[in-house]
Amino acid sequence: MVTVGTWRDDAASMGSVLHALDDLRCRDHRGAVRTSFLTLLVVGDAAIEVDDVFDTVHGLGEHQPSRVVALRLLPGDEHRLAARVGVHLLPRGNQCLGIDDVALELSGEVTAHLDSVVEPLTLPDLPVVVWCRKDHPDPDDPLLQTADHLIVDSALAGGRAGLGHLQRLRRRVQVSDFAWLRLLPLRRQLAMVARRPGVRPVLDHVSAATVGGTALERSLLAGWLADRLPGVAIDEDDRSGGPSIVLATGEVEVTVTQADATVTASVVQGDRPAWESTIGALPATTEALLASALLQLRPDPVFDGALATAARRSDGG
Amino acid sequence: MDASAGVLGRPADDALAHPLFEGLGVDRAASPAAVVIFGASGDLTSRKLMPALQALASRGQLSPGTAIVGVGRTDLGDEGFRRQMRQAVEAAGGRRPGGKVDEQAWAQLEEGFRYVAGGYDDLATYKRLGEVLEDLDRDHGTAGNRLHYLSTPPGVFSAVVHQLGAAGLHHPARGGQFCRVVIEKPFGRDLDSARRLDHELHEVLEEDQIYRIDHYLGKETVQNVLALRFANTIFEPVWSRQYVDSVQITVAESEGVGHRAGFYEQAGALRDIVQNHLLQVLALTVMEPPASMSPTGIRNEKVKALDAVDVLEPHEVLSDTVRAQYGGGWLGGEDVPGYLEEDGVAPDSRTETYLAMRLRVDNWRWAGVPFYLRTGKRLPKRVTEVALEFSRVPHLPFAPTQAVQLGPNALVLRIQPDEGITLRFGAKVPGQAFDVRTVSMDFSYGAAFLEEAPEAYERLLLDALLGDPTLFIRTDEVEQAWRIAQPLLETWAEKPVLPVPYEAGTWGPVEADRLLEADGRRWRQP
Repeated sequence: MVTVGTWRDDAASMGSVLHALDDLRCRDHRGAVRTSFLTLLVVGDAAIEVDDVFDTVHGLGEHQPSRVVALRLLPGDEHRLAARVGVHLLPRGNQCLGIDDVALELSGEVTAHLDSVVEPLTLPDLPVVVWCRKDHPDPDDPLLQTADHLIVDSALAGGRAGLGHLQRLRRRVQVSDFAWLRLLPLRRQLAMVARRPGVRPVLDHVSAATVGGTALERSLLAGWLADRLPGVAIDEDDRSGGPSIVLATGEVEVTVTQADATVTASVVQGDRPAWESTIGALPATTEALLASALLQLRPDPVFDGALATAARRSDGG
Repeated sequence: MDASAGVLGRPADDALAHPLFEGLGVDRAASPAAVVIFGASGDLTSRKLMPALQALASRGQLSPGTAIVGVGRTDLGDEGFRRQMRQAVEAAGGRRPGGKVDEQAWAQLEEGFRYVAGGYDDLATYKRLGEVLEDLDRDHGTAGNRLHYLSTPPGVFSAVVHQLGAAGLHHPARGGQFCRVVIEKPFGRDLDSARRLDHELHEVLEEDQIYRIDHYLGKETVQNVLALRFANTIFEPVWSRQYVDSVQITVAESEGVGHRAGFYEQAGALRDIVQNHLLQVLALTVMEPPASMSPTGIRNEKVKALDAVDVLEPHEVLSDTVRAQYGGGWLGGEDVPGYLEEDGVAPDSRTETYLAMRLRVDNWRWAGVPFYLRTGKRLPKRVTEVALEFSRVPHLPFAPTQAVQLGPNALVLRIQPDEGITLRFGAKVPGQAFDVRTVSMDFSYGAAFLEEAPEAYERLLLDALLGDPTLFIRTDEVEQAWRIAQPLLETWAEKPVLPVPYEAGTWGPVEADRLLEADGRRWRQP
């Protein structure tokens, strides 16, 4: 990646930030015309390492958002708006992709009006994705008015107890949850098992299911199974271990377990193991999860159903 | 039924039709099948087919019950074939970031490799193949489905299909399953031989079993021509004689004939590129909007488009086409040899390596708009594009000096290698004066999406496994394309026209420039 130029000001205004962006883009003729498709807003508190955020996003290579705005919210009432802007070009074949980084440190009253800060920075007519690195935002957060899509990680924000809150957020905006995306290899391996000769009919006659993993993982998996297989009794196994699913009919048990970078599937008929397979799963790095979330900006009714059911179960409903 | 399939997508196999498997991102996944590759030890299998199958497995789009059966004259054995395919996958980088082979996908395929050695016209070969397929159905779960891929020289297409028929391998092993045959171009050498081949294929197969592949149609950006035209309001209204002055379609290659001299000497640019790739791109450019994106809907409109192309009379072949052959020259900083100096080329060869032509499309939309087509080897760069040049505004309110730098508007669809769209229009030059100059705005297709585009063969192999023929060429399309090419072949045979020379590294002979200059136009420089 080629950096066209950088700019910083510890006492900036939004006007100066926008001027800097225009000015830096004009320094290289290759940035004059470009294809843009997404703005990513990253929100975190004082603990957020802005350079880590940019490293993660740049790790997506040529599949990264056109503009990344990282907001670091500092405590205190004193007004502060410090800004850092970088304009980069990523060579791709005969062309270059233009990438803008904007890092803003804010404190004081302005933190209650983040929408007014980010609105001028979003690329026109294109989706805006808000990635909350730690806490779930409040459903009434004005920043969500700017957002077309919200990315969160329930494992860092409330766990199982936060699912009700996430469900309320979901009513405002489309949501991707890293905690849900981490379970994708498990679900995919179950689908692969189903394509083995003889296994598919078993899944039409599931009478009981057991899920394992952390409380959050169990909650999401149970919510998913309850939503997808209504009427099937679902138990939770709270012994330690990675996420797992056991589907049972009278005669046959299909088990899928995920541990570190492997997913193991087995089919047991009566008391005899009929088949077992272990596959490698790509490590669920932040880059991989972010890429996965950005690729799924369309509505995900399966997650919506799983979340709604999990939230209901968590609330005892 | 038909409208549910097609390029808009097709549901996954029945095994995935279950509530637990919705939303997994494997919305196009094939049923278990034996993929039988004839010509398995050949270049196409290693360079394209095997990497494509590995990529499909990597994306979860192949069933675990998929087997790959090689058939060839060379006796590789199962293990030798597996080893060769592994090398092919490694050479292709395994379709993974960092160029590492996706071992999980490879493990899925590895158990299903089989190899059958034998002659293509020897029934015993097919009897052995039948036994292997039965074993795979029983032990590997291929479920009676077969996809025969003919990656062989075209001269044996008919023999392979007839022997498949004689051995009873031309239909599914069980009712409700499928048996399809994929055939690589060229589909005949001329209109007569194409019809003959078609007749021979239909003696054994139904038309809906035959998948004629032109890998150009598998390219994302070729399919994007349909999206651009029929998903947007702003382009289609100007996509006609009312606004379009002329259309140029260019398929340029910078490479020479390379190691394909044996084939190319018999084919030339007309058979190699024009009759298939170029006319397919033309059909997509001029076709009317289909009622639906179904296979029948799209292919019917393509046939109608080709049917509207005016066939050249013999005297027009001489006046409206330019046939040329490259000589030596400098290209990309290298001193490259002329065609006649290439290995395997006859010293007195008359094979054309360049062809330019002016065609008319006689229908309501395009009457009077000239279509300039050109293709060539050893041109300055590899590029495929469709350029619509628009008529000038009826009246320019500027002084002549103010618009001296203003060219006509143009919309260029770049198909390869730098896929995208360029719009050329006039803009005021900054300053006190009111000068108008042409500027261009580029849209980069690859940069606009996070998603990776599949390789053409990935797309087409999966479509064939799913039974989606939209991007394959129907028998009447082949015939229409030969109808357009045939007068050139006949005229060249009757009145031998020596190809005019052009220097490697240039955009073709001066005669091609004159073809457009006579109409007051000039070729674009892509």
